[in-house]
Amino acid sequence: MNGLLPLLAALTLGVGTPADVGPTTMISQQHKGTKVKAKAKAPAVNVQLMVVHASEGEAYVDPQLERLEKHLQFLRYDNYRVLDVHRSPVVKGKTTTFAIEGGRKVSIDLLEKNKEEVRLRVQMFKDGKKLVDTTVRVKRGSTFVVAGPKHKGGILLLPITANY
Amino acid sequence: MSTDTMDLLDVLLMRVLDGEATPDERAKLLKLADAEPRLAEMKELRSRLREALSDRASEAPEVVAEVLAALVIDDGWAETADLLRSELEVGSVDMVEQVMDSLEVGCEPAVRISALHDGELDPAERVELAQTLGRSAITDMTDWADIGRHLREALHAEVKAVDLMDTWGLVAVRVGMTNPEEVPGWEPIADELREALREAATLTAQDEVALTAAVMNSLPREESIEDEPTEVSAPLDEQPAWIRWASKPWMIPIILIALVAIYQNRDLKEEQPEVQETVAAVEEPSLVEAFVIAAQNQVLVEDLALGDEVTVAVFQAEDGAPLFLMIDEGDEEEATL
Repeated sequence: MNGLLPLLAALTLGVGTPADVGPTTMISQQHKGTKVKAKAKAPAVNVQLMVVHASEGEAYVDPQLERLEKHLQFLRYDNYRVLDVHRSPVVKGKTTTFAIEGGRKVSIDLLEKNKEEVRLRVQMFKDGKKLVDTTVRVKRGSTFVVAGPKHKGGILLLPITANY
Repeated sequence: MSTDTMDLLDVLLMRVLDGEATPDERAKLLKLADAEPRLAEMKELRSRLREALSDRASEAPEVVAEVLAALVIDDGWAETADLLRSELEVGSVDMVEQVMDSLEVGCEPAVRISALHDGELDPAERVELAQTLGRSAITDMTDWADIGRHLREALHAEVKAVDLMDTWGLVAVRVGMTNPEEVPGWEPIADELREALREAATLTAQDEVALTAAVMNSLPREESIEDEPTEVSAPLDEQPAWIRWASKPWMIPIILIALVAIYQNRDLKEEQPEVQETVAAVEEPSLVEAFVIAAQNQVLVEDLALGDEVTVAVFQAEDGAPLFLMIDEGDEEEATL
C-alpha cells in the first residue's frame, strides 16, 4: 500500500516523483520560494573479503596475494589459492553478509566511520551458530585476516579490507 | 742475638716442653732467655718461665700456659681495645656494649648458636647442637639477629654517602682513555653475548602465536554468544501491495493517468530550476574496485567474543602487517596453526 501512496500523491498534486520519497529521513524547507530537500546520508564503506584456501602441498601463492605473501610465511601451509573475492558497500545500520565455503557466513556491520578509520563488527557463523563476534577498528585502506576455518585439508584465510 | 743462639734457645725450649731437658739444659735455657734482648723487657714472662722451670724440675712443665698467661697480662692490647671501644661508640648507640652484653651470655652455647645462625657449623655439629637446643635457643637467635640489625643500622648511620658512579669516567680521562666504557678485547665477547641474548629474547612465530593465544584465551568473556538470529521472511504467497492493487481492472486507467502526470511533472521540474534538491539517500562509496593490500595496515581489536570450544589467536607478524585473527573451531581435527 505504501508504494502506491506516492503515486496517488503525484496524481493529485502533480509534483514529485516516487523516487523523491525514500526510506531515509527527509527534511523539507520552504524558504523564499525555494524548496530544499535534504536527506541524511548513511555512512558506508567498501569492503573486500577474499576467500583463500591454504593447504599443504606444492608451493604456490596466488598472484592476488602478492602483498600478503611475506606475512604468510609463519603459517605451516605452502599452497594459497584465492577461491572467491567478495566486494560490497557496507552501509551503517545494515548488515552485509557474505556466504563463504563450508556453510559459513561472515556478516559485517559498519558501526562508526570518520576520515581516518572505521569501526566494524565482524561475525562469523557456521551452521547457524556464532563462532566469533569481534569489533575492530580499521584504519582507512587497512586489511586484517580472519583465518583458521578448516576446509579441504587446509584452512580458509579471509583477508578483509575496508576502504572509502 | 745470633741465629745460632736463637736456635739453641728453641732447641732447649722444645726439650723442656717434652720433659727431656736435664737440669743443666734448663739452667742454660734460663740463662739464654735472660740474655735475649727481646725478652729482656718482658719481666713477667721471664719470671713465669723461671718459675715453670724451677718448681717442677722433674716434670714436663706447663710452659705454654705460663707463657700465654704472661702474654695476656701485659700484651699492650688493652689500650688498643679501649681506643677501639671509644671509636666504635656511635651516637647514642653503644655497639660495643650491646655486643659485649650479648657475648656475656656468652658462654659456649651462645657462641655455638651464633655459629649455627651464621652457617658456620658443619652438618655433624648442627645435628649435635640441635639435640641440645631448647626453646630458649629461638630467643637467643632472635637476640643475635637484633644485635646484627643494631650494628648494621649504626654503621649505616656513620657511613658517608659517596656517589662513585662518575669516578671511573674521571679516572679514565686522566689515564688517557677516550671511551671510558671501552674494554679492550671485550668486543668479541660482547658480540657473542649480543647474539645469545637476541636468540633467547626473540620468540619464534609459533611461540608468539601460542603466547598470544594463551593471553587472549585467559581474558574473561564479557558477553555470552547468542545464536545467529533467525531470519524472518515474508510468506511467499503474500504479494506486494502495488501488485495486488495494479492487478485490479479499475486501477488501469488511474495508472495510465498517473504515468502521464509523472511525465508532465518531469517537464515541469525542468522548467523550475530554482527548486534545489539533495537526493542522495545513502552515501554510496565510489565504484567497488579490487583493493590492493596496503603496505602499512593498522587494525585494532576492540572486542572479541567466542563461541563454545572456539579459540582465537590474535597476532601481527610485524608492524604494519595485517592483523590475523586465527580461529580454531575446536572440533576434533588437528589444530589449524
